[in-house]
Amino acid sequence: MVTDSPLLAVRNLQVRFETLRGELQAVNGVDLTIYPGQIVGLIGESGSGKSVTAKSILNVLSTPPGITAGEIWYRERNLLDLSPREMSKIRGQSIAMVSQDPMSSLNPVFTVGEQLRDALLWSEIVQDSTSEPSSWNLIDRFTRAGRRRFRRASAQAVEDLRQVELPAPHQQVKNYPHQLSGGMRQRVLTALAWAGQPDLIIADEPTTALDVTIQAQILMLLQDLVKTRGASILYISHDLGVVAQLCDRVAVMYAGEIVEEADVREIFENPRHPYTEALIRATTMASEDDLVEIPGEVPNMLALPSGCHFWPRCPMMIERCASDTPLLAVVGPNHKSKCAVIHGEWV
Amino acid sequence: MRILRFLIKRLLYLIPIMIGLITITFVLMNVIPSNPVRLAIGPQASMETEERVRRQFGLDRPVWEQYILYYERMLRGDLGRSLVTRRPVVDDLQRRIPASVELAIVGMFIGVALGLALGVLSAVHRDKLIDHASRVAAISGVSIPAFFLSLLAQLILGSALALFPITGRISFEVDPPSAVTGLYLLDSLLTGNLAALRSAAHHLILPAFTLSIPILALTARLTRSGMLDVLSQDYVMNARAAAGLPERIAIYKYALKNALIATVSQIGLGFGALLNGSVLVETVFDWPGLGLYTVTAAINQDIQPIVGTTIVTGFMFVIINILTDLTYRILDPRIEV
Amino acid sequence: MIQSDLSGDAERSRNGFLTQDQRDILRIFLRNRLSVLGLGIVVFWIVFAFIGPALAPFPPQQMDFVHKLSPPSAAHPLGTDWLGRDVLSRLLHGTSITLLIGVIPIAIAIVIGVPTGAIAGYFGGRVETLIMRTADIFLSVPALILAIAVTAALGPSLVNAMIAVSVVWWPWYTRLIHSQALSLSKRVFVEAAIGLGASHRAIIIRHLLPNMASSIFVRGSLDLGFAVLTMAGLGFIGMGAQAPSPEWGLAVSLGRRFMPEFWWISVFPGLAIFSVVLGFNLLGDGIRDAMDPEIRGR
Repeated sequence: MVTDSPLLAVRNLQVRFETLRGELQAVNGVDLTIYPGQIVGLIGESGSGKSVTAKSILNVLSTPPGITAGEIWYRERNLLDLSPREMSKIRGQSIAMVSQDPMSSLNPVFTVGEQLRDALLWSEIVQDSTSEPSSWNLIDRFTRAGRRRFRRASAQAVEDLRQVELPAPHQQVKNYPHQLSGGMRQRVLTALAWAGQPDLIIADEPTTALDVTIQAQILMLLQDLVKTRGASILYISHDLGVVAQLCDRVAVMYAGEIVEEADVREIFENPRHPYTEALIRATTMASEDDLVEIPGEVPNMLALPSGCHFWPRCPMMIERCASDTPLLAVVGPNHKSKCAVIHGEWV
Repeated sequence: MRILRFLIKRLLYLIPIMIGLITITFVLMNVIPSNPVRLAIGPQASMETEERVRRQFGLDRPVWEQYILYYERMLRGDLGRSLVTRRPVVDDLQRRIPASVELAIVGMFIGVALGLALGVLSAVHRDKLIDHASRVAAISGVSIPAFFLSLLAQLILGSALALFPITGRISFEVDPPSAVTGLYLLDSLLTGNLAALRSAAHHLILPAFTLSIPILALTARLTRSGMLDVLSQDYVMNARAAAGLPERIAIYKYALKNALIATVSQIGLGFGALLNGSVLVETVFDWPGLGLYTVTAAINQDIQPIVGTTIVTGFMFVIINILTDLTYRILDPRIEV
Repeated sequence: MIQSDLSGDAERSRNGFLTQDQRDILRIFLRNRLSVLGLGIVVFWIVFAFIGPALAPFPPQQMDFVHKLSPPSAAHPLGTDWLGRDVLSRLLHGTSITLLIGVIPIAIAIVIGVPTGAIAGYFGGRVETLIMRTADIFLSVPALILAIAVTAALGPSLVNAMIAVSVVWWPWYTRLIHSQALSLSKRVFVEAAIGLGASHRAIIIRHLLPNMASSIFVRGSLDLGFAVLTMAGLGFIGMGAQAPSPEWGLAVSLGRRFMPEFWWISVFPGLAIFSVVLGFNLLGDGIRDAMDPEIRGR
């Protein structure tokens, strides 16, 4: 059991988008705590708000949100209070993301080496500069110091690619992303995220686009890097199998809320929310390549059912579920559930 | 090698296009209701002369024979003779093409440079004042008739404020630079003729700027939408979220290159607008280029120069499009050229 | 995620006489102030095309040599020209011509382009090659230059200018429809119709065309401004409307001789052309943005 103070503590996170048909509450009151060295899994169906949660931690949502409220504590700082300038020093250096899709997450018109080199350059500039880091340093090939920095970063890029076990890194740095296979690109993305030596990695379904063998390799790589570098991971996925293999702790999201949270063994052996149960059942029944499916319709985020959002699909539903909201309450050691049929606590 | 193969393929495709174009112009010459021979020899000439000229040009032969003869002429580089200038069309074109090319290059340059800047600013500051202002400016730029904008420029900047000369390519007091390329700016630089350089540049500003407006508008628009498209891509988010790069670099280095490639891929449209615009701008500014030549010929029902310019501009337009395609292919590493 | 939720919802809820999708289109269109401004300008000019001649204070051809070349005043709000004709009256009388000669060539281009494009895309093979290569040839010359050549060959007149603009414009529609027909004919419902033995004609008319209507509409509305510009340009260089027509491009051109002292003769018709084209372009952009599902999601 980890007892340090948390590395990341998300408190009552709310993210809302303005859409044409009204306001969409993508994330509603999410709490999440990650300790140093811990791997936390965040699982849920697509659209449950897990990616939005991840992106709002780094403040990189591509659709500008109407409102982001709550608190995101990283060490002693609330990220939501930071200026854009301070935030840009957090991104990549303290918290970095390994993206969902290796096909679309690398810039297609720059070589792999150049992208990694720029990340390394920037992290060197941020970390060792006595003055404010300036974007100028990223294009400075005109001064002798600048050229030296470029050479160093280029060499480091090759070294980093070797560390993520990319074959022939010397050649690969000259290639464009489309000349690499999916697995190789995922390795590049991993190297890119580690370039700033962050202590928290947010991995947003890094393996979905890959075949099973490569998935396993990438997961091994992540675990290795955590062990050797002592970082934490927030692992976002809809794949329970992967989460079971990799994570220490699991939070389950449904319709923008966390519905169950526990240590990994506890949640698989003793799930205390019907949604988690359904997920586990679906995973064990499905063959390896199949998408996990749960009976019933994915909720319409613009018109969520009242009460517990899961009741229309819930086998354990009682009358009160459709009108009253359940609490996220303690149901066991380090174990919380948002099912009031189980624990009897309503708002 | 791949580039060479691409070039050869596209250049081969030029052949059917030119055959088609020559056919179209042949059809045009044969539907013309007026009597070209009579127009050429003048109303005083006798019937005998008309008959002789008719035979001389093979106009008494069947249409398909004339069609063959027409190709023969084209292959010899004979585009006929202008009724107005009384010179072979080819000579006229040679004299006028440099003027148009100079105007077009400068206009294109101004338009693309300003358009890119405006488009990028617009996208980066989306929905802010500068975005709204530049979008309104861009849509106004494609909406204002080129001839009207030319007139306004003459009226305000030329007459009222007297900042620029109103018409012509160079002042009468100044001798044009000795012809090397035919481009006055370049020639006067090459020959060190500063007086000519100043006068030529002074004369060039108004028409070039007027001509650049639709290009500017188009480029701004393409760049804005290309940039917005790129900015919403995962890899831009990822450049910040994974690599931690500052926003400025993520935008101006990483996103911009993608957006530029997208803009270049469509800039051929801009050349079309440029060639269309030059007809009107040259007319208003009395600029001795291809456009003015076409208009003068059209007004005088002088069909040979019109056919000549149609074929030549068609040829240039296709070549320009091949070149922009080529540039695009070289710029974009995703395309295996 | 957001988008899939929205479209799912669109299938479900239909109430009133507009579908959810149509209401979205309308809402996006109305939300954009510039589009509404464009609609306003276009409606304004269409109204004037109808009632303008009745409102005009003078007959368009009435000369008044005493008051020729007089600047804007109470009697002649936009001044008079070199024959003493009232510029405002001529402007009002020219409205319908200017609008019509923009609309007609586009209509003709659609009439030629849609069937040729649909045939090329649906049948493929040699017909396709023939049609599409012909279209390429017409597109290989910049529009205005080809239009000048065609008008000059036919003899300068308003009708011939419209023919010329249609001749240079149809290939754009052929291309648009060709690519759409190509992708549509591979869709399940078309293949099903073929399997059921529907005639080619019926498939093109009943299955392809209705699905292409919105893109034809969008493209057409985007092209209107361009067509007005091109026609005005032809008028300006003397290849379009002929004197004494009050067509605006011609009016700008004839007034040029009196620049810069008597600027109003050219400037007001020029401004009028600008505003019509601006209106069409704003409207066209608004329609495209509202109907393009990709932009709509944003």
